[in-house]
Amino acid sequence: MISICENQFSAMNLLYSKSSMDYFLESISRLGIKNIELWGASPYYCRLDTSLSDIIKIRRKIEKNNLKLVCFTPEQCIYPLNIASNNRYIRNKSIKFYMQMAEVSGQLGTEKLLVTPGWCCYDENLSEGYKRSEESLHIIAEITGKCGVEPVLEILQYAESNLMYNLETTLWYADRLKDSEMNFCIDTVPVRACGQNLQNFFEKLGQRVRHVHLIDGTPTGHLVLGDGEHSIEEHLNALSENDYDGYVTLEFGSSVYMKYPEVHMQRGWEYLKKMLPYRAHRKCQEEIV
Amino acid sequence: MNRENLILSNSCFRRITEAKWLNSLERLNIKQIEFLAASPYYSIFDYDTAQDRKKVLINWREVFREKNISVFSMVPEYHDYPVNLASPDQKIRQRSIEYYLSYIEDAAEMDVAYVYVNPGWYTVDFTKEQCFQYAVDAVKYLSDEAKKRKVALYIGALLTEVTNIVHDYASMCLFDKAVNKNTLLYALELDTAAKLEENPAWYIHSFGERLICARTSSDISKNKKIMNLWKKCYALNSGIKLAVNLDSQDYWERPDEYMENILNNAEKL
Repeated sequence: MISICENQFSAMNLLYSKSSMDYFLESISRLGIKNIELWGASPYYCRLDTSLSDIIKIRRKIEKNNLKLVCFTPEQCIYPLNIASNNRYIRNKSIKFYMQMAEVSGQLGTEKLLVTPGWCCYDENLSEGYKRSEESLHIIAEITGKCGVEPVLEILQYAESNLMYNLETTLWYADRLKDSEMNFCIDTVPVRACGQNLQNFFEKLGQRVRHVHLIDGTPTGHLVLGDGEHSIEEHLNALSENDYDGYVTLEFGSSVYMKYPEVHMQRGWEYLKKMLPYRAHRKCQEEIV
Repeated sequence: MNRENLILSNSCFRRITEAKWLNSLERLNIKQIEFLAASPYYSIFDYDTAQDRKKVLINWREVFREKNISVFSMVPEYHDYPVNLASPDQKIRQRSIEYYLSYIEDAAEMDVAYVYVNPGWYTVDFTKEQCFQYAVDAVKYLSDEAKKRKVALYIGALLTEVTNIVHDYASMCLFDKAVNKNTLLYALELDTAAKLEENPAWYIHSFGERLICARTSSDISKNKKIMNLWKKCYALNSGIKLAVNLDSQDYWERPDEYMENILNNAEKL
């Protein structure tokens, strides 16, 4: 059981999607958060607009602000991508996209790339969707391995992916992808949306939980900590109890915050800091008894 | 209202196969659609070459002709995709202009009269006035290009999370004055008007025949506020069309049911 400390937390630019890169980086620096996870969507990063020299400029800006880039998360839910698509053209294009993103991760100077499993049409045979998704992920794992980048497969909400949205479907992937190929990012919103908790995932996946997104919600909504109905302490307890020593990203993202992103990021950060460093209670009490 | 006023979008079918969507259109006898150009149905981002894209587009044209379906307008995905006509970044702006230009050409190919455009948004730390001007310049240019191809652009006042350039009646008037082209047309976005407590009469009186339709992304059969706004529109102009694009994820799993419900309640609207 470890203490969860401030240095493990990172901020994502999703909340800053109506702001510039410079503003985001300076804002996070002002707030005293040491790490960032870069959401790769326009205007921050879009492969259609961003050249290698632009990528290097981004990296330099991050370093200039004394921040560490802990994960690169190219936008892949709302952009036209789907590695499980029944359309071979779209599927191949999507796989090619991740190949490019693996290179970009290296160029940005981060070791982690967030990947999602795709989705299948609701009126299609689900097993075919799973088959296509798995095939694509094996290819992606091979490419990212060669680039020296660690892919982490993220659980999503059902509306985002009908292939991986709860513990059972996450374990389906865990059975078929070796831990040397790909491990997992667990996001607290889909976890709570399906009525489960972070501890359930740690019990089954253990060290294969390599990245976490910590958000509040009702139970969904990508809300700032304290604005929803999640028990943030319960989430922290699970991290501590399971000796989670990876990064935890604050993925606040509701559009209601975007006009004044720093104000809301600060709110969430202050809410969290009051609980840190956090050490799990249950085992402590057992030890005392 | 009768069914001829109603236009239904494929937006709620984006997680349903094309075959099932077309079956639904047939079963529900839907003859007028707003075609959301988004993956996997049709997006310029899905194809590497213009030829590959054209094949798919022509296929859609033939399918609609065969099934006697009229495409009222083409609506290139304008919220979720990396497009911003008002961007302070010149590269993004240029690419966004090319994005809409591609769809104007596609609309011409398909004999579709209208293309919906989102004028974009300014970042909170950049000058609003400069971004507004970028959007105006882009839409002026696109309007001229559309006119050459016998297509017209239309814009609606959307919620500020989608566009902070044209987001209510007043900004729509300002934008129209700045663009100053009679060929630019408009939609009355009922969801925005409802949220801001605006009177549809303002839009109808200011834009007249240049207001080609009302639009909503709500299930109007269940939303009294939107329904009442629509009834006011219809009372002022019984020729106006109503485009329903149910784009929330809530509708994606059983879009048929929602479509059928709206159609069954059309006469009450």
